[in-house]
Amino acid sequence: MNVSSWAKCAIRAPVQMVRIARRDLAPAVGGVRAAMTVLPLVAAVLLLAGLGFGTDPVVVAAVAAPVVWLVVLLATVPVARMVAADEAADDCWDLLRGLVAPSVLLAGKLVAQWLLLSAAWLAASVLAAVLLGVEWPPVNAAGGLLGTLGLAAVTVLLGPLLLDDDGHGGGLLAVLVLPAGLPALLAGSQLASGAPAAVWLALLVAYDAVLLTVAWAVFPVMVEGS
Amino acid sequence: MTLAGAVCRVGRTFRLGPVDLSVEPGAVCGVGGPNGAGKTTLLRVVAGLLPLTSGTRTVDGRALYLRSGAGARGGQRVADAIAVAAALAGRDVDPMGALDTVGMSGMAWRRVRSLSSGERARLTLALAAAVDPEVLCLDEPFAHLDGAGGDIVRSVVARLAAAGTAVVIASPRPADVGTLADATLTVDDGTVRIA
Amino acid sequence: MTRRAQVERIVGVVALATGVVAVWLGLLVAPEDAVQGQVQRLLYVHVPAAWVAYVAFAWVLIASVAYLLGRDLAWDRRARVGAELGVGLTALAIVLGSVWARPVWGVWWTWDARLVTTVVLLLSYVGYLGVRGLSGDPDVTARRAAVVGVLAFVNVPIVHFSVLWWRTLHQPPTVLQPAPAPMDPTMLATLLVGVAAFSLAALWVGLRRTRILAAAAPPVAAPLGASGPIRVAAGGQR
Repeated sequence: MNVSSWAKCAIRAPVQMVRIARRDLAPAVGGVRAAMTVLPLVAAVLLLAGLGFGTDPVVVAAVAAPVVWLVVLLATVPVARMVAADEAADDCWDLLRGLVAPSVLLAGKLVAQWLLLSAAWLAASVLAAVLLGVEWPPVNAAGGLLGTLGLAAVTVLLGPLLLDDDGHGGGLLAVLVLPAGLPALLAGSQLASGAPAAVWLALLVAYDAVLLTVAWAVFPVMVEGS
Repeated sequence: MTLAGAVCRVGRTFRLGPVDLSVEPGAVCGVGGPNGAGKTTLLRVVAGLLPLTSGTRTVDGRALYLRSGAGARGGQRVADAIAVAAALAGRDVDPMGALDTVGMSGMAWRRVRSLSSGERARLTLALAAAVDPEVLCLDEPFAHLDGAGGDIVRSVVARLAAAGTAVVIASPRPADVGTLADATLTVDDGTVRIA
Repeated sequence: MTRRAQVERIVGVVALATGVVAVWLGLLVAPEDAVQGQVQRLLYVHVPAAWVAYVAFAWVLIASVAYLLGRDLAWDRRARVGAELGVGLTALAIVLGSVWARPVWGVWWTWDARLVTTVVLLLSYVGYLGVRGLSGDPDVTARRAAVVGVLAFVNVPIVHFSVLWWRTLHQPPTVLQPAPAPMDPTMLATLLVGVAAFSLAALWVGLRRTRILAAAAPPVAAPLGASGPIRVAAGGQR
């Protein structure tokens, strides 16, 4: 490939990435389903958790942060379908693979998943603040963004697993996401509870760096031949 | 697009024997053969969707594989589906123009899921025209289509080939492709021969 | 007998011999622990099991990367065997640890960083084995399993540190763990022999299982016949 076509590819890649992300988030394609699946889940879990943990506001405030993160972890299961399984259901997976290089596809899907998961986290945090009377420290926002980024990398990487599953891959996905999402849960909860921020932020940055590198390296293998 | 010594093994069975095939820009290649012979495997290998077990594949540009009715999400509007696909391909295309060539201009604002299978088949052709890849593999494009629909397939293919796209069409009835094909191949249990 | 079968037999024999020595040392020779009593002997099995399990998981990583680089299904089989061994031994270690902990710590379980990490590890590799059941195509399964195998391992140090920091944040190290006293040389020797015996036994099981899996893999069908070169050009040339 000569220089000018290389340059064209270099410019095209970020543009394609944005287009993929916008396509995934568009109401027609993914946005509505995501909103309809995730938001009720968030509200239901928060309410039930609040009720389940009893009437003592101190106790409820203490568990609010982990419950928020648990909700986000649970939300990864339906959201992961948007990576590949929903595309294949509409027979669009071949088109995407034909038009977009795997690493660009990864990047675009990652952005969309990150936005969806952080929206879920935001909705959960706002609901917790309103319903359970919790106050979040400012550093919680950083925790939310960094934690959901790592989770998004995991869901995009594991998303193609659902291509073959006839519907029962969701449980398996949860089993795989749980260990991968544990650092986000712990660090996010700690940052939300006012623990010393530096070490937890450092953990999240390392977590994101490792997961993004692994995802970038092996995503092309995951989609190959799918 | 050139395949040299291409072998494709899926699982434990060889689906495609050593194939030496080259399709030049602007050529139309029909692929026939009984069901299950390996036509889809050949097309997917040509489009780069299936990895080769051995041999090489070289392609100059983008290769697209489309089944009849594929390429659009159910919730999208027809015009948006075309616009998004073209945008991903880096092309600025007026969806109405593409829809005109397949006779669907009146359906631009309908949702894809409300289309009949024949209409979806034509939408796939419009998508192919909008994307204008260097190599296009159509898998049974004549399915779900009547005589008029078949004419639309042939005219879209002719137009793409004239613009330099190498087109490979799989159909159990090669007569559908008719005189458009520069060559017709037969796939029989994974072996590819000129018909 | 092939070289491979010879190696397997030698490893098996040495493993058996070492195992017998380990049992003899563990049950009869090693002195009873002053604090914990006879139940301490469980550690001669628990510690080797846990150690070999970690090695097995590291092996899964190596074999997964080897598969990704060379696409040789033999590496995929080796990775699978490693995961099976690792999962089995981890489960054993957890159960034995729990049985040991009851009389010594007074609890079946505790929120220790190492324990939580180990359970999460077990879950990861159970998931790894689950991924293998999704598709019937060995190449697709191998690809996906290799990806999950890499992901599962790189996650371990991060999970370990998260749990460690979280644990230290919540509670100062309590006296739940007895301060490690300098070990009696006989006990140490017993432990090392136990580790050696377990490692060899795991190696033997691994070799056997890999061989069985390779033999059970359906034979690759014969390649198809070639056809002559075909060239399709616009205008109909052959």
